[in-house]
Amino acid sequence: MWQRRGGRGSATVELAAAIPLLVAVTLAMVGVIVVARDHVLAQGAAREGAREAALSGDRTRAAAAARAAVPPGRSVRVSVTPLPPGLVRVEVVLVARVLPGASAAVTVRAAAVAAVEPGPPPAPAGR
Amino acid sequence: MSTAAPPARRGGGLPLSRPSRRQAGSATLIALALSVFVLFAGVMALDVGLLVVARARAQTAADLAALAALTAAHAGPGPGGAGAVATANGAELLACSCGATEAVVTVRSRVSMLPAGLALSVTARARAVCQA
Repeated sequence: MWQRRGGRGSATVELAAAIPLLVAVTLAMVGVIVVARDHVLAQGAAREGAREAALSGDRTRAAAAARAAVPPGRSVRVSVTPLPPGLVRVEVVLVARVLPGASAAVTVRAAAVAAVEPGPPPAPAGR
Repeated sequence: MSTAAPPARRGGGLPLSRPSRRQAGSATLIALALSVFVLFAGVMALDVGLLVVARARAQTAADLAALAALTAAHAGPGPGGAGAVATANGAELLACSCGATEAVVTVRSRVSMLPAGLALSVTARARAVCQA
């Protein structure tokens, strides 16, 4: 009787010991998916901004286009920097909440580089 | 009585003390198999995430390289700055059929996956048309 109880208990304990690992890895997988989704989101925003910069040559319009590509309510930082030989670089920084409710956050950044049209840029509006 | 007990136990299946041992061993095995499976699934999730992100980057590079090829086409047809733009976006220009009003660009970028040393390449295509 004693031995039987002990055996059952150890089986339960062994299974119970595996459960935290299971939960941890599952949560980590969810976190990875969330970060990957936000990375794709940031990359798309950077692409939209770079495309706008290439087409209009206007940095403020490029930043606005990048911000418009991010769902409203997300805090996003957009920087548009010209690179020397006719290129412009748009960088988007997003803060990804790894798990809903948890305060753990990962900073996700993506950048895109586009060629701006050579020659005089169109009259810079608002700058 | 004591001679009748063993046949009854045999008839009921396994002796009393056996199930606990078998359970204990199977629990260890199940836990081990579960851990391996879960870790494998975690690595797979990471790899899928890496691939999805790499695809998005390659698509960005293709898109902007096609645009750059068309932008440079004002000076004359050709790839122009498409290669430089693809490189700046972390990809390499594979092919560019670039005319004065249309550019089709194929780029490739390498992804290093999680089991270290495993690398895949992702290709993306984009087409830009000048409607002016």
